Amino acid sequence: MDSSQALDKIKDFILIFTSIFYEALPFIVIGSLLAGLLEELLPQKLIARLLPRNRFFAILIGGLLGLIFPMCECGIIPVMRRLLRKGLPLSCCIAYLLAGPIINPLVLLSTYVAFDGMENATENGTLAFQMGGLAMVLTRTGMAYLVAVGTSLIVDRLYQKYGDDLLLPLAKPPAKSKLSLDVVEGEEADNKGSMNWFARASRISETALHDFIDITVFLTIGALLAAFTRIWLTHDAISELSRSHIILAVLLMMALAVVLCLCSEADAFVAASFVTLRPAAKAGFLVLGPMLDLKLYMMYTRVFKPRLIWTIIISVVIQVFVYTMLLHGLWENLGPKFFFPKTDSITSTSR
Amino acid sequence: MANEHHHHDNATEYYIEQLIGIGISLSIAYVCIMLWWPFPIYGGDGQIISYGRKLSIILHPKFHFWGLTGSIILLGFV
Repeated sequence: MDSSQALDKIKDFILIFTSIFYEALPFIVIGSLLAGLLEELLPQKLIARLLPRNRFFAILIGGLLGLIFPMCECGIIPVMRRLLRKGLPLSCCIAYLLAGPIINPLVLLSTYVAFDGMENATENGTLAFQMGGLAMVLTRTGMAYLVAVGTSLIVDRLYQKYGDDLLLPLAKPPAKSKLSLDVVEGEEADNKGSMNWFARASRISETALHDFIDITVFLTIGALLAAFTRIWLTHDAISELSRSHIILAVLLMMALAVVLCLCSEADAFVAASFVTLRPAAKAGFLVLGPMLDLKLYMMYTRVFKPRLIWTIIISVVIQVFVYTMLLHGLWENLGPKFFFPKTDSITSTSR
Repeated sequence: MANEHHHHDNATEYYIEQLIGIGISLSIAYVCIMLWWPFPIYGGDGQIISYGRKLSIILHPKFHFWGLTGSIILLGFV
């Protein structure tokens, strides 16, 4: 490698690092703001009252919290940490953490827009039997929900054994018993009742700023790692490998999801750009990416202990792989029959 | 942080931590706003022919609004 090539690599590295950093940044800021608001304004008792007492139903609802608090995967970490401190059960937080960046209105819309018309895509002049916007939205949502609920149930079992020892001190709820909760609530109410709006805004911004700095440090490390990896992965190499075998294609797309560190609001456009790749491999990429990537791993280390992090990683990776292979079998065998019954009459247009 | 600054026994340490946080956030927000700020593109005759944004080098235009919004909120925290 001569000096000009080395210089190009360094420029590419800086470009990729800054693009990952500034793409994620606004969502971390918004997440931190929401975290500050939750810390200051959301009473602890309210969460306990709203959630069903049955843990399974609570997890099912946790997986849909993204519809109320729509955040991408970067912004969701500070929000989730605050919800944990507010007493939301760990398993519900995990369901929200994993499903929230996918099952939210913005991401569903961007997925629909990215894949809209893809059903008409062709390969060598024949219909490629790809998923369109609605099919991909439903597939992504369904898979994400299954993976999130499955992982949360595993985490729930783990929590019963280890309790709050799975969490770092910053994420631990301050009080567990009802009595102490009442005391905390009483103190909060007394403090907040006497506070003027400026003092309250000041506390919100102080919390938000602290959370922002705390998470951004690990975003920076994750973005550096991702930029370093992306320098050595070219688009041509990926396309060539993905054509070889479906298992290899699925594993490759899952590995790409971890390495590329794309925002869940933008990743659908990247997946859709692999026009001829089988839909299941794209779905695997779209489901795994918002749940696990290099920068997220670094940010998880600010909330969870290693035991919990590795439980989440193993559970998510295995489930995504299994569901993706099942989806591939279903789509390749039944998709053309149900979704393209009149193949001959479809006017093929290349994307 | 609202619930955690009680843990700082040393007030100086607490204020230094706050100042560093404010400095880092201010720098990040300033850089992002400067990247977003439109700059003139001149034609051969020295006339302004259009405006561009340095943020376009690293981000798709659909993220520009979010970048600016995030920076302004970050300035609000500061």
